[in-house]
Amino acid sequence: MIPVEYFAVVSFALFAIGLAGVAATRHFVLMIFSIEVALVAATLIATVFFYFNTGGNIMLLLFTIWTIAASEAVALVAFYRYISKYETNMDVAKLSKLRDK
Amino acid sequence: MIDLIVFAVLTISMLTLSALIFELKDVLHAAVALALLFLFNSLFFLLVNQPLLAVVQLFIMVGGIATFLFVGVGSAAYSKFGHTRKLVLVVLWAALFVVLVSALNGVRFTSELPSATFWSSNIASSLQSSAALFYVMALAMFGVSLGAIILLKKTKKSAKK
Repeated sequence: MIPVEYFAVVSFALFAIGLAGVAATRHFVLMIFSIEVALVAATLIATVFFYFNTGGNIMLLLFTIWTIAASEAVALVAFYRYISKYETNMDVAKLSKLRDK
Repeated sequence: MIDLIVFAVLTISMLTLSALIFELKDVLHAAVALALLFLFNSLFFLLVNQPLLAVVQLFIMVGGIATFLFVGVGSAAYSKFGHTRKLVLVVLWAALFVVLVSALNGVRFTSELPSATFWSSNIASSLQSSAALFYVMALAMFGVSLGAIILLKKTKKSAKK
C-alpha cells in the first residue's frame, strides 16, 4: 500500500518545479510549460485527496483546471502569431516590442 | 514492496521529465518531455483508481501538447537565447519544496473509507478493464502528430537549401 503522504510530497515537488520554472526562465513557451507542470501537480493532489476523503471522483474541479490548461494552448498560438509578425524572439523581456502602433 | 517500487519509478520519471523541460535546448524536445509527463500523470490517476480521469488526461496530451509541438517547431528560430537560469531554478525549487513539505510536518492523514488505499495493482486492473485501448489510441495519435512535426521540420530544412 502507498501512503497518501507520498502523493502529497510528489505533488509538492512538481508544483515547486513549475513555480520555480516560471520565475527562472525568460522563454515564453517554457513559462507556459511550467504552468502546465504546476497544473499537473494540482490535478494530482486534488484527485488523491478527494478520493482519499470521499471515495468519489472530482470531475468538476479537474475539468476547470484542464480548461485553463487548454486555454494556455490558445494563448500560445496567438502569441506565436505576434512573434512571427514582429520578427522578435520568445524572450519575455522584449514583450514591449509587440505593442501595436 | 512492489507498490513502492512502482510509485518510485513513476515519481522519478515525472520529476526527471519536468526538469528536462528546462534543460533541453529545443522547444520541440521540451514539449515531448511535457507530453511524457502527462502520460506518467495519467498512470498516477490509474494508481488512485480513476481510469476516466486518466483517459481525459491522455486526450489533453494528444490535443494540447500537439499544439505545443507545432509552436515549438515554428518558434525554433525565435528561441536562440539563454532562456533559463539553472541555478535560480534549482535554488527556488529547493526553497519552495522545503516550505511546502514543512506543511506536512506532524500531520497524519486518516480516512474512514475502506476503499481509500492505493495499490500498484490498480494500474494493471484499470488497463485490463478498459483503459488499455485508450492508451494505444492516444499513443498512436501522438506518434502521428510527432511524425508530422518531424516531416515538417525536414521539409523546412530542404526548402531552405
